[in-house]
Amino acid sequence: MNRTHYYLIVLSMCIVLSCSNSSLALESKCSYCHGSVLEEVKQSVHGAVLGDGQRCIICHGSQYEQPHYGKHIEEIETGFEINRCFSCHGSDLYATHGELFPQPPLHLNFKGDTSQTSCVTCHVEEKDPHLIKPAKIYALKDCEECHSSDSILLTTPSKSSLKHQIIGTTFTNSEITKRGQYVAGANRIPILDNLCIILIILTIIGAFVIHGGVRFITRKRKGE
Amino acid sequence: MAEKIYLHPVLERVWHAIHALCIVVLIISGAQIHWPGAIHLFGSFQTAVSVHNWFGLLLVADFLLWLIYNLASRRIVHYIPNKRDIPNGLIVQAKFYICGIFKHDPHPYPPTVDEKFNPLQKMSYLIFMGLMTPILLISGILYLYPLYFADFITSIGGLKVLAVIHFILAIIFAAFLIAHLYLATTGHTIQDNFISIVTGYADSEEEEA
Repeated sequence: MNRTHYYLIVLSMCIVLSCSNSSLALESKCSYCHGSVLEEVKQSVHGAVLGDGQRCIICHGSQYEQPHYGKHIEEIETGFEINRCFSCHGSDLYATHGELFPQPPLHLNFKGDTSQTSCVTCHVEEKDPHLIKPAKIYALKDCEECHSSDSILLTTPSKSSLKHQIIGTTFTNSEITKRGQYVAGANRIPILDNLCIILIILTIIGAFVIHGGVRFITRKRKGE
Repeated sequence: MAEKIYLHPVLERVWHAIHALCIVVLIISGAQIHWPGAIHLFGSFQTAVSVHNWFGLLLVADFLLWLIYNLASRRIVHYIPNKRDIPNGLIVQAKFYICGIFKHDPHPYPPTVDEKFNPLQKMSYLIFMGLMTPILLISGILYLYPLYFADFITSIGGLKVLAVIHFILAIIFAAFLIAHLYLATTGHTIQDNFISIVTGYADSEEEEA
């Protein structure tokens, strides 16, 4: 084997190794800008399960193999879709989540526009979507985290002005309702709530206090 | 002493008791679901939802019992206003509640075996049992099983439209319940009508709620 053949063999091996580790190389490229994010993924439940090179594009898609720097951050979509969760976790989600709440398909967004709830809503702590912990260690299980006036799904500040709460005609969470959703306990029409409460109070006052009061005043006395 | 008449057969009293229980439980649990931060009578949100679902289904069964029983026995005629009732009967009865009751006038339409409701009762019960209860129950069933009726729900504007319809009807039912309880006190004595719906017997001249 002469020197030229030796160089060709070494070069070929380098090309083969380079191709087989292209995703690993991609992950290194990602970490050049998103190093802290990659570290969080490694610390998450996915860190141990997903091998080197799978941790970025398996959730964000192959289009991110191309560098996207040089753009304003507003122009860059995260590329995350909830279906990417289901591609790995889709087998028994109904059964496991059905133990927690009714209508798992509705809550888990398998059907059209009835729900857009994302897995990370319940499975990340402190709103960090990359630091997903094992469900046994951390997962929101309290219904009122979403079904309440202080719902974590709300995009409108819960402590809006009194005037807004009284005369507002829109749902308090316009972002959710734009997607066709209605989360009981979280969504409401403030003015409708207030009108209904006024109707109930007026009925009580009108019947028991006013009508009943006049009946009491005009009641038959003993001996009449 | 007023003559006693058998106004409420046992099946109607059983139906009324189940209906009353369901309505009260559904209003309270529904209020907790709508205002979970303010009302905690049934404990957790999930418990309130389960209670609401089960009592809602019980109310559906109870409504069907009422419908089938009244149609089969032809006692549905008690709920149908006649020519005398519209509009004269309604006006006379309304005048009684606005004025006559304070002057201790006799009830213009005392219950009889053949006609146990006054014109206002007939009209309001017919509207509530014939129209509003079915809409309330259907909206509740759609809300309970939204995925089975996804296309229809989408066609009416989504879950939010369904939820608002259900909520408005629920509030109207709550207001009706208050008025119903109050009017039940307008018998010969405050408690007469409450005793009547338990025993089945009522004074022939007394007023129902």
